[in-house]
Amino acid sequence: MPNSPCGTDMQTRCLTKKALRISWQLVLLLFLLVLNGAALCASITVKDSLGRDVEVSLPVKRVVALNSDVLEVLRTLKAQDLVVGVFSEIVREREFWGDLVQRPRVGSWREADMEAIAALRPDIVIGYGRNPGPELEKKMAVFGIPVLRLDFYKIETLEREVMALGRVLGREKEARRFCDWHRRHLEDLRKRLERAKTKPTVYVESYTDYHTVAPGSGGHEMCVLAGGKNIASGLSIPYPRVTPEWVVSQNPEVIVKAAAWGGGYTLLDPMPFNRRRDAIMSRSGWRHIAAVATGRVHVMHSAIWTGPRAIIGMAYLVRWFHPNLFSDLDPETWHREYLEVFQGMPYRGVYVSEDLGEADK
Amino acid sequence: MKADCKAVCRGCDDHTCLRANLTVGQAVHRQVGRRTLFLVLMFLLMLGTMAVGLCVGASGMDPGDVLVSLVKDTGRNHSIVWMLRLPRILMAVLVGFGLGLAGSVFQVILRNPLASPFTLGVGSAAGFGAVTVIIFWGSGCHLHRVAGGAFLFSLLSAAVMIAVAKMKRASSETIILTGIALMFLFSALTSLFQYMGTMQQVYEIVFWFFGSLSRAGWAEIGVAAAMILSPLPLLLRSAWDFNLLAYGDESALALGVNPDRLRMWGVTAASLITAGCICFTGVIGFVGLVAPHITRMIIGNDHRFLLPGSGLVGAVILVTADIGGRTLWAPQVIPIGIVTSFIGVPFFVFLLMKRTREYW
Amino acid sequence: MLEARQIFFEYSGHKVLSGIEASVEKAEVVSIVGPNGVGKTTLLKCIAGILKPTRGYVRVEGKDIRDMARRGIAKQLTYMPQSLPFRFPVTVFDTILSGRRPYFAWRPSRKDLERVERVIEEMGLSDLAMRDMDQLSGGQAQKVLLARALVQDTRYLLLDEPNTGLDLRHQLELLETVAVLAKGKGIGVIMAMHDLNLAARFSDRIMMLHQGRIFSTGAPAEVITADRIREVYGVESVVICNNGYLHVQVLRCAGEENRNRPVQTRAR
Repeated sequence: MPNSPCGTDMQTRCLTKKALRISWQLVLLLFLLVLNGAALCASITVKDSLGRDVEVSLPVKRVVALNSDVLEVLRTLKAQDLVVGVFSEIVREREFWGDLVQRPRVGSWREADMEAIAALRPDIVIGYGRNPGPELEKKMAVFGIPVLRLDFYKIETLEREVMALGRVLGREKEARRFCDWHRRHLEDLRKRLERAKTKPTVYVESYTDYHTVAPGSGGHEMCVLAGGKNIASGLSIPYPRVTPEWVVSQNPEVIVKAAAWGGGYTLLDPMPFNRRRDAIMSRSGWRHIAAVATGRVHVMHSAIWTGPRAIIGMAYLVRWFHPNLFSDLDPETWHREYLEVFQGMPYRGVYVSEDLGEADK
Repeated sequence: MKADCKAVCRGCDDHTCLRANLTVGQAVHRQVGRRTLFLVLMFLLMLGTMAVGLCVGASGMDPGDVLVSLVKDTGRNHSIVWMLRLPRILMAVLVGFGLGLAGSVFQVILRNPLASPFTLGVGSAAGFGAVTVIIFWGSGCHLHRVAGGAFLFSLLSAAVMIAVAKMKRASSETIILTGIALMFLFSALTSLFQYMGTMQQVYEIVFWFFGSLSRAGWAEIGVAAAMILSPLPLLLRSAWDFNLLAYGDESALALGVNPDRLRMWGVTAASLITAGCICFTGVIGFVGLVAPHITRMIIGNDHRFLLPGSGLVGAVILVTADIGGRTLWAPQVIPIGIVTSFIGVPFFVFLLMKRTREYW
Repeated sequence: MLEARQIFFEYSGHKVLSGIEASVEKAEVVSIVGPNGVGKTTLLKCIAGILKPTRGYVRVEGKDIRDMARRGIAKQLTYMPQSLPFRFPVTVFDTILSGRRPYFAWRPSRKDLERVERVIEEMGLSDLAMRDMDQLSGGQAQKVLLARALVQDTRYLLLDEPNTGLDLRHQLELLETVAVLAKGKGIGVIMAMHDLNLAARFSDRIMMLHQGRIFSTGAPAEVITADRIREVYGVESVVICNNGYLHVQVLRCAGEENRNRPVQTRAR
C-alpha cells in the first residue's frame, strides 16, 4: 500500500487494527446471523384443549379463525389484523364483527373448506377441540399448516388457553392484560361467595328443552363456580335429557335457561327472553317448583354463557343465586368493559331476561 | 265335514288335538273367537302397561300415592300425575296405536313386508318441516310452530304422492317409487339445512329426530287424538277391501272394489295418522314396522283384526318403551326412538324363532 | 242376456281385439277358444269390466256396464281369473268368503257365512277349509277360486281357463259342476278354454278367435273342424266323433312332413 498514511511499523499496527475491526464486524455479523437464523427456525409448543402438544413455527402472520369464540379472543389479543380467513356464519352478526366480515370465508365451525384454507396459506388454523373432525389435521398437514384446537369455553381453562394463544401470536402483553382483568373479576366473585352461607339448588336447561348440564360440561362448571348446587350433578353424561317430572320433584330454587337468538348484540329489548321465561314458568305442573313460585326463572343468551365471555354470564348467575350478596354487582358494567376495552366495540344489546322483581319497579 | 284340526290349533304341533270333529262353521267361529280374544287381551295389556307407567316416575311416588293423587287434589303430586304422567302415557298410547295402525295399512297397500309409516317419506318430510321451522323461524317457546311445520310437510308429501298416483296409475310400485324419491329428497334437504344451522339449532334438530314424549300436554293430546283416531272407523270399514288386495287387482275389481282408489285412500289416511304422530313426538321408528308383523304372526292376515291389533300392539310397545326409557337410566331419559328399537328387535326375533310357518 | 258388441281393444298401438261380438243367454255355456295370445283373457276382462275396451260396449240385461257402479257389476257378473298372482297365508274359507264382498258392507252376515259353508261342502273342500292358501297345490287353489266365483251368486260367470292345473278327474268334475249350474240354476257361462275337446263337450256354443277377430262361431261340431284348426292353430288334425263326443286328434304341425320321429302317437 504505497500511499498508506502509516509507516512500516505503523503499517503493522494499522493492519492489526484493521484486522481486529474486521474480525469484530465478522463476529458481530455471525452473531446477528445466528440470532436471525434462530429466529427464522423458531417454533413454540403449546398444549391445546385436547391436551395435545402442538408445535407452531414462529412468527405467525396469517391466521384462520373457524368460529366466533376464536375470533373474539383474537380481537381481545388485538390480533385481528393477522386474520386472513373467517368462518362462514360471521354474516349472521355483521354489526358485531365490523369489517372482519369482509375477510375470505373458509367454511363453518363444523365443516371447514380445506381448499379455501389452503389457498390462503395461513400459518395456523384455530378451531374447537372436536369440530371440525380430525381430518382437518390430516389435510392441513399436507400443506404444513398446524391446527390449534382451543375451546375457550370453560372458565377454569380460559386463561391458560388465552395465554397460550398470546404466546403463539406474540401478543403476550394483550393476553396478560385480559387474564388480569378476568382473574380480578373472578377473584372478586370468589371472595364475595365466601360469605354465602347456603347454596341454592339450580336447574340449568341448555338450548334444547329438557336437556340439562351435568359434570363434564361448561354449564355445570359455571353453575358450581357461581355458588349454586346443580340438581343434575349426579348424572353421568355431560348433556343428559330428563323428564319434566324429575325437575318438579327436585324442586329447584332457581332455574336458568341458556338460549340463543341470532346475536344478542343487535337485540333491542328483552322481549324474546321474557317470553321464553314465561313459557318455562307456564309448563304443566311447574307452578309447584319453588323457582317458578318465587319468580326466580332466568334466561341467558349464549354469547355470555360459556365461551370467552363466561365471566359475565357468571356475574349474572351469581347475582341470581345470591341476590342479597351481590345487589351492588352490575354485570352490565363488566360487559361494557369487555366490549369497549377488549373488543373495541361500543356496548349494546340485550343478553338476559328481566328479573321478575324488576318488572314491578 | 271334519275340519283340519291342526290348522285350527294354529301354532300347535300336537296331532292329538281333541277337537277333531268340528264342522267348518264351528272352526270358523272358533277362529274368529280366538282373534277377538287376542284383541281383548291386547287391550287389557295396554291398560296394564298404562297403569305401570302411571306408577313409575322420577318423583318416587308409590302406587298408593298415585291412586290418591288421581282422585284428590293433593298439590304437587296431583299435578305430577295429571299434568305430567297421564298426558305422557296417553300420548304414548295414541302415537303407538297410530304408528302400528299406519304401518299395517302401508304394508298391505304396498304389498311389502318392510313397509313402515316412514317408508314413503312422510317421516322425512315431517322432519324437514320441523327443521325448516327451527332454522328459519326459531322454535323458541313456540313448539306448535315446529309441530305445525312437521304436519304441513307430511301432508305435502302425501299430496305429491297422491297426485303422481293419479297421473300414472296408483299401483303399489308407483306409490313406493314416488315415496322413496320423496324420502331421499327431504332427507337431503334436511341435511342441507342442518348444515347451515348454528350449533344450538343443530342440537335441537338432532334431538327432535330422536323422538320425545316430554312435549305432550292435554291440548296436544286432543289434537293428536283427532288426527290419529278420526280415520279409524273408515279404515275398519275398508278392512275387508284391504283383504281383497291380497288376491290381486283383477280379483279386487271383479269383486266390486277399485284397488287404485283404495290404495290412494289408504295412503291418505295412513299419512294423516303418521303426520299426527310425528309432529308431536318426532320420529319414533320401528314400532310401525314391527307391530303389524307381531300381530300377523299371532292372528293372521284378516285386516278386520289386523288393523286394530297392530294399533294395540304398537301402543303396548310404545308405553313399555317409555317406561324403560324413563327408568333404566333414571333420572336420565333415553330417547324413545332408541328404546323402541331395543324392545322391538328381540321380541320380533323371538317370534320369528317360534313361528311354525311363513306369515307373509 | 249378457252381450258385448263391437269390442275393440288396443294398447300401446297394438291391436288386440277388433270388432268382437259375443253374447250369452241364461243357461247357456259359451266357450272362447284360440291359440295363446289371441286375446281370450283380454276379451273376458273387457266383458267383466276389468279392462275398458277402446271401442264398443257391454250390456247386462240391457244395461250398459259403464253406467253401473262396480259393486253393481259384481252382483251381475263374476270373473274368475286364471290364477291368483300371489299366494298369501289367508285361509281357504276367508278366500271364498271374499266372493261375497259385493253383498256386505261392514261384515259378512249369517247368510253369507252359510252360503260359503254350503259351497265348501258341495265342492268337497271341507278338509281344506281352514288351511292357508299358500299351502295348497295348484289344483286345490283352482277349486278354491271356482268356489269363490260360485258364492258370488251372479247370473253370469266368466271363467278364464278354469281347469288350469287340474288333473283329469278334477277337470271333469269342475266342468260338470259348471254345466250343472248352467242348466240347473240358469246361469250363463262364458269360458276361455285351451282344451278343444273339453270345450266341445261342455259348451252349447263355441267362438273361435283368430288374430283378434272372430274366426268362427256356432255349435261345437260346426266350429271345430280340421280346416279351421289348421288355419287358426297351424296344426294338422283329425276330428272324430266317438261315443257321442267330439274328439280332436292332433297329427302334426301344419306345413311339415312327417319325418320319422321315434316318438309317440300310435298306441301299440
